[in-house]
Amino acid sequence: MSDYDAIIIGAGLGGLACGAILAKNGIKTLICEQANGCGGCCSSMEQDGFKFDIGPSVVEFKWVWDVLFEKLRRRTSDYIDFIEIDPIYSFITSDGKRFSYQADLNKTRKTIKMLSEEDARGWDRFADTGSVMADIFFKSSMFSPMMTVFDMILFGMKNPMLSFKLKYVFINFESALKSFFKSEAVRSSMGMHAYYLGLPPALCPGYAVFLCYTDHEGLHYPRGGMVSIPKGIEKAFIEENGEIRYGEKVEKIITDGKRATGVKTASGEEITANVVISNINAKTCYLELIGRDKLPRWAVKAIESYEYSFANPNLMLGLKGEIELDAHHTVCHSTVDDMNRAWFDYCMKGKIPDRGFMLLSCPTIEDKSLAPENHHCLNIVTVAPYRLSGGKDWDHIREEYVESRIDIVEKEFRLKLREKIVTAKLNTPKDFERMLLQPEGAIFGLQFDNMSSMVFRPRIRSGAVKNLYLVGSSTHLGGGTPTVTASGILAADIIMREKFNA
Amino acid sequence: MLKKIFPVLILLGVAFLFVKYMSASESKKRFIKHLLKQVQYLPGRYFA
Ligand SMILES: Cc1cc2nc3c(=O)[nH]c(=O)nc-3n(C[C@H](O)[C@H](O)[C@H](O)COP(=O)(O)OP(=O)(O)OC[C@H]3O[C@@H](n4cnc5c(N)ncnc54)[C@H](O)[C@@H]3O)c2cc1C
Repeated sequence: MSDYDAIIIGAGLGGLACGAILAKNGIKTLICEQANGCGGCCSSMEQDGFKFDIGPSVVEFKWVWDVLFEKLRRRTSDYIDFIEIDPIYSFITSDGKRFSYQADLNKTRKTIKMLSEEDARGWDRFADTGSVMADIFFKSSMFSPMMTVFDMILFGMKNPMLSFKLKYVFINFESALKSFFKSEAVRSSMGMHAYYLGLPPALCPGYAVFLCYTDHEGLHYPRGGMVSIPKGIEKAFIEENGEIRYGEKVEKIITDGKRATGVKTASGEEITANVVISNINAKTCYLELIGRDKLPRWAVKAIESYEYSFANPNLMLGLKGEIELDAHHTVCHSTVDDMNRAWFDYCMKGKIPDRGFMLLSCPTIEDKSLAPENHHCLNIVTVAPYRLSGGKDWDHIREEYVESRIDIVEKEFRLKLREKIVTAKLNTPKDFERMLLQPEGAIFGLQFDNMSSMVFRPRIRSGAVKNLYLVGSSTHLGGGTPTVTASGILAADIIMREKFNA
Repeated sequence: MLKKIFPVLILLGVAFLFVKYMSASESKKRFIKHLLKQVQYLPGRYFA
C-alpha cells in the first residue's frame, strides 16, 4: 500500500491543474512545493504596500481555465476574476511616438493603416490566416497529448487544414512576418512575440507569429495579481481534499528498477505513491531527482541535449502619482534586427542588450487594488543572459542594471520614472533560480523550437521511467500560463485512464 | 535503369538544397543551422 495515489512535485500551474482534477476524481493526491506559496513563476510578491507579479503579466486563451473548472464541476468566475485588457498593447518609439493595438481587429487595422496603407491589407490576410492557425496550432494541439507519431497522425487527421498551413512550421518567425507585412514599423510591432516562445525572430518557428492574432481573441488579467490564478486552483484542490505541503523540497524520486515509487524530501522523509508527477524542469527531474545512474545512457544523452530557455530579469517598481502609460502592456519599440541582435550579439556572448526587448507592464491601470491609492506598479521586463561575460555576476551588477534600465526608459522612451519611485525590487535570472529552483532562471523551462516540441519534447508520460509523468513548461506546448495549465489537464486525463481505469 | 538514376537524383537534390541554403538570408541560415544542430538528438528525444 502506498502513502498516496499520486505525488506532485511543484505547485506551479501545471502541477496544481493536474492535482485538482486527480483530487476531484477521488485520487489521494499530495503536492510538495519547496517554496512557501503556490504558483511558481505565476506568483506575486508584496513590498511596501505594492503587490508585484514576479513573472507573467497577462494571459491569453482564458478558456483553458474554463475547461479546467468545468472538469472540476465549478465556475471559473467563482475562483478567478479575469479582467479583459484593452488596448492589448501600446507602443512607444524612441522618437516619442505612441500607438496602440486594440482587441477589435478593425481598430487595429486602422492603426496599422496609419503606419502603412499596404500593410492594412496584409493585416486582413493575417487575421484570416490567424483564425485558422489559432484553431489548429493553439486550440486543437493544446489538448492533444503528442507523445507518439500516432498522436501526430491523429492530430493531422482531425485538422485537415494543417497540410495547407505547414509552411509556417518550416519557416522562421521573421519570414512569416515578412509574408504579411512590408513596413518595418508594423513588423517590429509584432516581432517581440517571438520572445513569447523564448527565441528571437530568426530562430522562432513561423507559426508563433499567429500569437499576434490570438491576442485579439482576448488578453486577460486576474484581479488581485497573477497569483490569483494558482490560488484559485489551489482552493479547488483543497476543497477536493487534496493535500499540499509548502516548504517541502523533493530531493529524490525513488525508483525500483525502472519504476518510480515515491519521493524523498529534503528533510529525509520517504513518501510512497503509485504515480509521481513532476512539475519541475525536466532536466532537473531526470538528471538530478531520478539520477543519471538510474537512467539508460540514451535517455541521459537525450535529456542533456535540451537547452534551457532564456531568462527574463524583472525590475519591479512602485511609483507614486500618475503614470504616463495608457495600456497594461507597453512595448518599447525595437526593430526586428535589434531583436535578433539582442540574442546573437549580446545574450549569446554573455552581454546584456540595451535594446531588442523591453516590456513595461502596469497592471494597476486595470486593477487599482495592487498599489496604495494614487500609486502604480510597473514591471520592466527585458531579455538577458544567465551567464555574464567578463567575470561579471548578477549579484554584483544589480544596481548598475537597475540604473541602466531606468535610464533607457527615461532617455530613450521619455517616461519620467526616477522621481516617482517609492520602492524597487529586481529579480535577476539568478534570483529566479534560487526562488523557484528553475535552472538558469529559464522562464520557459526548456527552449522551444521545432526540434524540441511536440513528440520531441519530454513526454507527459515518461518514456524512460514507469509511473512518472511530467507537466508544465518542459512538456508539450512549452511555457506560458495557458499551455502549462493545459498540460496539467492532459496529464490528469492520461493518468486517470492509464492508472486508475477511469 | 532506376538504380542508376536514383543516386543522380539524390545528388541533384542535395546540390539544389545546398544552392538554396547558400542563397538564403542570414536569418534563414541561422534558423536552419539551429534546427540541423539538433537533428542528432531527435531519436533519443522521441523516446524519452
Ligand atoms: C518573467 C516571466 C514572464 C512571463 N510572462 C508570461 C506571460 O506574460 N504570459 C504567460 O502566459 N506566461 C508567461 N510566463 C511563463 C509562465 O509563467 C510559465 O511558463 C508558467 O507559469 C510555468 O508553470 P509550470 O507549471 O511549468 O511551473 P513553474 O511555475 O515552473 O513551477 C514549478 C514549481 O516547482 C517548484 N519546485 C521546483 N523544484 C522543486 C523541488 N525539488 N521540490 C518541490 N518543489 C519544487 C518551484 O518552487 C515552483 O513553484 C512568464 C514567466 C516569467 C518568469
